[in-house]
Amino acid sequence: MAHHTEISHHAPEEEHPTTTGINNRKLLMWVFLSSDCLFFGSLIATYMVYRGQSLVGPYPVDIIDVPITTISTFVLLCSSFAMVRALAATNEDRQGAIIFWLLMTAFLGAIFIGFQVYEFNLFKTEGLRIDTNLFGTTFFTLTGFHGAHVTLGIVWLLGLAWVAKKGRVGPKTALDVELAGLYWHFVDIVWIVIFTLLYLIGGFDTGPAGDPSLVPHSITGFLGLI
Amino acid sequence: MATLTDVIDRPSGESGLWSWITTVDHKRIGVLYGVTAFIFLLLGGIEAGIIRLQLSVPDSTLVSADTFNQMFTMHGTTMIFLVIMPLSASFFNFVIPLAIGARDVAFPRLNAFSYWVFLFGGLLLNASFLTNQAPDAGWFSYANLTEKPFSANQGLDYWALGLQVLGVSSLAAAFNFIVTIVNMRAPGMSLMRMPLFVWMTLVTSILLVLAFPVITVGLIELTFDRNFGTNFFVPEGGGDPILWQHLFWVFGHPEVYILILPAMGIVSEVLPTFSRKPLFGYPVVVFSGVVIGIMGWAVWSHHMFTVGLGPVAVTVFMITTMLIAVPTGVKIFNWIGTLWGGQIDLKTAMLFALGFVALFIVGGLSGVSHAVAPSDNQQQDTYYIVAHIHYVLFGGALFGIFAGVYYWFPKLTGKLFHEGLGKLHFWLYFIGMNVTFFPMHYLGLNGMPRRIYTYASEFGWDGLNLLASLGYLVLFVGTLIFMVNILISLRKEPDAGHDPWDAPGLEWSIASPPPSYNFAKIPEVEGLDHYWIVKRRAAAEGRPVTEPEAYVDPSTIHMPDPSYWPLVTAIGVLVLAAGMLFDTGWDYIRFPIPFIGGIICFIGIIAWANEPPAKEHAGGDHHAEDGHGMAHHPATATAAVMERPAGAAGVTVRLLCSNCGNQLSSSFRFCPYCGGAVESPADPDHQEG
Amino acid sequence: MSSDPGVHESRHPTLKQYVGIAIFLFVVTLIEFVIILPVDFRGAGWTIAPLAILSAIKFAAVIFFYMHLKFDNRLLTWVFLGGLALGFAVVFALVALFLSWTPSPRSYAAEHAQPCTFDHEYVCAQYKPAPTPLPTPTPEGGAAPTQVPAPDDASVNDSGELVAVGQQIFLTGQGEGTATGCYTCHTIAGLEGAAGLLGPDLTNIGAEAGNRQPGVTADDYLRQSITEPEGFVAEGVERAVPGLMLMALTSGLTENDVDALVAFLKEQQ
Repeated sequence: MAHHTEISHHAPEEEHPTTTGINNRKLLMWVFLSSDCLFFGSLIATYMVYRGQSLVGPYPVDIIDVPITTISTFVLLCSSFAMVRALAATNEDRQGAIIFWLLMTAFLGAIFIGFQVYEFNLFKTEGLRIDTNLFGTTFFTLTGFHGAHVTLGIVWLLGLAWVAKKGRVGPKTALDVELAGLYWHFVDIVWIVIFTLLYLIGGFDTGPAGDPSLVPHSITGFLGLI
Repeated sequence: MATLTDVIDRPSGESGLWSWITTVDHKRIGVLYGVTAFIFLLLGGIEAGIIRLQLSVPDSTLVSADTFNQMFTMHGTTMIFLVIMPLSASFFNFVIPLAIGARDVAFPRLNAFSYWVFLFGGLLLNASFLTNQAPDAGWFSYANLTEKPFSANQGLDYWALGLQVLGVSSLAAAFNFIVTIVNMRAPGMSLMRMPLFVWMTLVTSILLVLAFPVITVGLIELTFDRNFGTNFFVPEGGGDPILWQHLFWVFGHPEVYILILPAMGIVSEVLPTFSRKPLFGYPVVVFSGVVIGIMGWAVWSHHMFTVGLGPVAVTVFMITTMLIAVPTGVKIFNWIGTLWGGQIDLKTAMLFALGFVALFIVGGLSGVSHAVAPSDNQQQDTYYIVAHIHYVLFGGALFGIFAGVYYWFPKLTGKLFHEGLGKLHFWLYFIGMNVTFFPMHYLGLNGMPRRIYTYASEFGWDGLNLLASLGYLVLFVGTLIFMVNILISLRKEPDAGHDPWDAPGLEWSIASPPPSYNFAKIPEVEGLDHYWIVKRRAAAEGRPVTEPEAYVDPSTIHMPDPSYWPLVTAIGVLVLAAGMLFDTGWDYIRFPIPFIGGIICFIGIIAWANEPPAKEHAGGDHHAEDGHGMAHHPATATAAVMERPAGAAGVTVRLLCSNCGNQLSSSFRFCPYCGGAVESPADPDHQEG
Repeated sequence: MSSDPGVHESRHPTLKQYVGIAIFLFVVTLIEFVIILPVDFRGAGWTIAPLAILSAIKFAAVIFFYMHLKFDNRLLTWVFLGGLALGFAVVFALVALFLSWTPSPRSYAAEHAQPCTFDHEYVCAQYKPAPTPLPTPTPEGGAAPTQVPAPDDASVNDSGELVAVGQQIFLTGQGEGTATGCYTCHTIAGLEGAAGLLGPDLTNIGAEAGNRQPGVTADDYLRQSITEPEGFVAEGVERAVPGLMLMALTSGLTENDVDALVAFLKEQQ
């Protein structure tokens, strides 16, 4: 581990005491995630407001495939586990394990994206495009932006793996891995919400706009949430 | 990429164009923000001039209706996003690290990135004029006027993409300042010892961080509607234009406080300084600011009373809107309480601060009249609204900002503004502002709708419109006077000293202009109004402490190095956004240029992350470049510094206010709690600066 | 270096805990899946509460253990939960605002909807109502004008076809190009649907057009008034709202459309 002695004499966290004791970059990351909550909140709000308002089909019940997405959800949960292993390996300075788990996380994320691409293509052939109806519009926008977040995370992880391969990732720079991990887990929890709302709850919505059964349904649904 | 950063050294040099382009110094970035925003202010002022010239006489044909629409849209957008927000950011940049005793912000390069992205966003927005496609749907661009069939040219695309870019800038800056304020305070500066301006910056940054994602989503949906055929705001497809209004105002109302809170913070600095008395009820002012920040989220639908939200929603938002007047009123009473019994010194900065309080009250009162929904139904979309928004944003935010300009200019340059010209500037602004905007109250109540490009003489609006246009001329002259004043003052020899106002803030304890490292020795903050405490104690002990700490060799203090990569990454963001304007019409790659922008961004970020420190202190400090905690290298710093008199340690004067009995931790002449005079044997000789 | 793992162990869960949480997340997801497995349960209102609670549990497990908020500075928890709560509040408020809106503005809008008069590539194609039943010139010619509710007897002449097209543009905005239908703002007495009050009354425009602007023929005057509406406004023309007729309203019309409109307007005497 000669490279570590080259790098520096302190780990970055301990190098600069801050007022609160929290590392600046870590605080930045959490503030960013807090901000991103509002981003996804607004997209989810759009979906909820337009739920059941599509004028033409296909409606969710015609097209949503819950079992397949349950599998891709499992994959994403697995990737979160791989991510915490990568961080643990970093803290323990097991170089091979760092690279393995980082790549494993990125790989599982890529599989998730693969599922999403498959799903989007399937929907397209079944007649749902982003401009078909409100369901298509809100569904593709929300899941698409989540997918973009995952893709960005994959690029980040691959970059880290590349740095790790040069031996520059270790306990001293564990924060780099930790921040990527925070981002990655956040993308995971956003998916937990999306999966529940768009698939488990909203995946069976039927009917065109004006269906009177939908309004009380949505209200009880919302009361159910609180 | 590592090869790239290995080959390219970090830029160096203290002066010249490149030193400004690659700078990461918060003071220089503050100047860049300020100058750029001032140029945009002139641009927005010219747009306002065209509007006023057109409306000065009935049936005017000076500009076409289309041009008029572009003018008021760009005037509003420019003044809000390219003037008041960046001018506030200019103060955040220049003042915050100085006021909290730090050597720079937490992420200096991110700070430079924010500035460049802001500049490019402003240019992108205004580039629409070059293609004669300026946005023309008003500054809040209601759907479905903004949909493709009704706005067929690319004006709204420029608008949406320009605001997205500006959003990136604002978010990056807000992240930076939250971290800076939370994490980089000098020892001893607890939250309740932070100057009010720092508090308001923190609240503003939190609002920015939480509000901008909402408009980002709204703009994304608008862009998708216009370019990808989605149905978000298209009623024919089941969408609802009202959703745009909600998304815009969920962002837009916190945005209103984003505009006004920094000005409130500046005024809360200026009033105590020139009243020679601590801010009255400091904790109350802080909490009312925080409460405004929280309640600002619960009032947005008052912009939409006439939409038809239903009685329940209207009532709820009516009540919350009236409630938010309470913390605002509390602040005003506290400012008046600060003035009460103070030794008021009517310098230009003080005049602007007093003007702020007066005009903001007028704007606040018309605001309360909007809060009453039945009355709002009468006022909606009339010139009454125009009068209100200008009283709070011009009379409020801009007056507060000018108070800050006159207050901190000596710190920035070491030179005092010409007081006579400054006062002339103030009076021209104060009179011009009232002549321009007060008649609009009457015009609005007489039914003149906003955004009409001309009107018939029979409506009886001629005289007041002409009066308003004449007021614009007064404002125009006032702005010229200000520019002359800047030029004259900059050519002078430094004459300000380091503490011309006998001010309480930490920033006044160092030399003017501040050295690049700000503080050679990080101060130990002893309390609110730290520098007053230090000065009063020194006076009590009969020794002079008004000398700033001596300059030290900057190379002995570890400071963040200049960098090219924030600029490169910002260019990437610009290409990414502007590329969306070029639709190739191909099947799979309709928008190829944004990919190029993405690649530039990617290169910039990678190089940014791998950038080595500059040669002279490349001594293995791998993590130096992220800039965090630059304020905390006491070992290096103290070694290089000459010994100061050991004033910071020890003596704390304990006093009781003879009036209210509160315990005072320092020797003020006036009690901070009740404003009563404190007879202090320890403080016989007041320091008059 | 040797001390570092120790520092981190106190801040991070152990491997055992990580595995336990992973299994826990799996099981919860599986339960969620099982809840909606029976066909009768799918989309049922009562499933919403348990599904929401289960996903909230998963959410909490990830943020407190995988993102180790539980072990970190409490400030970070507040930072994140603050944003999360506000995001949730925004969702809740928006949905509540749209649901509490009674009677639904959507039904009101549906009842009062104007026909789609523009060609939005994706949207309108599907929802465009059947074309307004107006006479269109047939290739044979001659037959159509007789069906036109003629404003007066003189309308049957050589340019009858053109007049009919002009009327259609006047009433729908649809010619070869598209414009906003003139009827929305202008009145022509006796022509059904043309009763707009914003612009000048065009009932007798054919008779007046020639006298509006000295030295300008009726044809040219009408043409200019269509293509550059605000370019010249004659004395005595009453407009409820001046300046409302933007060029954008008519810029979509082709030359032929304008010809047809001029022919139609000249007939209004």
